[in-house]
Amino acid sequence: MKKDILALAIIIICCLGALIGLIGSFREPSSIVDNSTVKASEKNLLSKLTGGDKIAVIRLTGVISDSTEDSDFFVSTSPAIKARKYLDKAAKDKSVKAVVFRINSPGGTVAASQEVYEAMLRCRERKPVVVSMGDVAASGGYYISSAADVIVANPGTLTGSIGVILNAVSFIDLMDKIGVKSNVIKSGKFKDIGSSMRPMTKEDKELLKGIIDNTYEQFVGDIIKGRIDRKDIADTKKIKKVKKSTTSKKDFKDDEEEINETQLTPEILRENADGRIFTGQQALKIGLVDELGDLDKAKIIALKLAKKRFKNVKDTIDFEIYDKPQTFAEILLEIKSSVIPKSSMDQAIPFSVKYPNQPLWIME
Amino acid sequence: MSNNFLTTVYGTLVSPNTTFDKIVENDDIGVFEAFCAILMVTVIGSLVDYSGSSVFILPFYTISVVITALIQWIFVAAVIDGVASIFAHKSKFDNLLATTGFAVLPWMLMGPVVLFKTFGLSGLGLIPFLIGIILALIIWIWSAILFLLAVAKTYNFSFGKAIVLSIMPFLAGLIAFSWLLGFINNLIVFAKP
Repeated sequence: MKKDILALAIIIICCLGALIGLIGSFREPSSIVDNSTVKASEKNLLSKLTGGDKIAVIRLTGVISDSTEDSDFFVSTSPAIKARKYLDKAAKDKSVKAVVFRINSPGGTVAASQEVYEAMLRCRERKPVVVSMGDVAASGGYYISSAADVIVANPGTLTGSIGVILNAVSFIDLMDKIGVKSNVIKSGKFKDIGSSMRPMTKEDKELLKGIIDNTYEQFVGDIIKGRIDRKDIADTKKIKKVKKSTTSKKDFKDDEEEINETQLTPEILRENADGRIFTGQQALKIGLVDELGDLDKAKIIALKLAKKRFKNVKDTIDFEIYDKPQTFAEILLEIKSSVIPKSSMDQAIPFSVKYPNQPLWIME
Repeated sequence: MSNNFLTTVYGTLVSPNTTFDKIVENDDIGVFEAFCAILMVTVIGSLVDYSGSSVFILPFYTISVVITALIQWIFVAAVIDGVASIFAHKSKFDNLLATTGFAVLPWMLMGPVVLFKTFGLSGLGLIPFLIGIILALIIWIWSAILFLLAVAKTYNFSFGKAIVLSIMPFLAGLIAFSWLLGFINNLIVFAKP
């Protein structure tokens, strides 16, 4: 009997311990190591061991699309889907104090770009988001960037290309040559709009132009929403007084950089939103981007914004690559994509040809 | 059942040698009690391991952990029994399920031990945190030894033989994994131009 009572007591203690531990795990990670009696070095080590505060680095590389081509074994490898997923995760993760979004994309499909844009806006409501542009962040890539608090571009980054493109390939002459004819039975006159088997009519062109114009307005409207009609614009401008740093995040120098005070206005935006591309330097002059600099500079700005938004954010905070493969299937696919490269022919085909008759936000 | 179960829980933690002998010899303590032990340990384990941000997902997480643990328990026991029956010339699958089910009991102590990490004890400094890690390590070793003892007692084998037998499921898993990799590779080769 005594043994039974002891066994029951052990079980109850273990259950209670697990429950209390569960409640503790919902607390802010920073509060776990927030004790003034503990040495700073111990706090740092503990913070690392217990998964303390961090700034998440999320990457989006390649064409933005939601295509099934980007899926293997039920796991999506689409950069857009991954970016959206990790932005939402970072928004909910209490240990993430800011997000650095590294983008290297010529754009992509409209809806996929809009989904990443919305995810970034959701994230921005909860914590600062800084975009760092790589080689290219044009069209849909720029559209997504416009949802961030601050955009940092390299002087040679290709950006802009604000506009919509639709490509309808025609095979009529080729079919005539080889003697092939297409017979189409349709419920309405527009059912085969954009078909490569027949010439485009004036009505077809007007209807497609309407779609292009509407999508263009959505594009420009969202840039205005993301970068111009913002309540926190004044705060962001203040933060842009970023101190120069060396490669180490711990070592801040005191000399301040020249601040870009060019404010993007709807007029400037519409004037330049005709599909033209800009270098990072040119984009800075008209206010399409906020700062010139590399990924390190974006990290420093993110740290500044995080310190402004949250208490107890330290200069020694970790920068964590947040989109590392986590599940077994993701790790396998990561290995696969590095071992088996995509077909080179596939990369040579223009994106608008791969997605015919569809409005695209892409730099061709 | 409850008296037998609690006595066996106490016995597994305090005097596993005699307790496992009793489980093997006595039919009163069987697979159902071992299932209850596994269930208890995995529920506590899921509370300890849970890292999600919402409490509402916790029940689904717990169910997935319990199902995974049960599959793992049966798979490991089946592989060990399959190999052991070659040497022992007799299958003792029920007995093995019963003994290995109770052998995981030390893991429930992770409930209080995890407090060193999650509930402020780590806020006292590095040393309490390290104590937590050491205690977790002790629990792991304790449970591993109990598992080997369970295998040795079930088939009346030496401890060394039990170690070799216990490695078998991992080898089987490795072989299955390499087959899976080969299968995936073939699919990739055929699926992509």
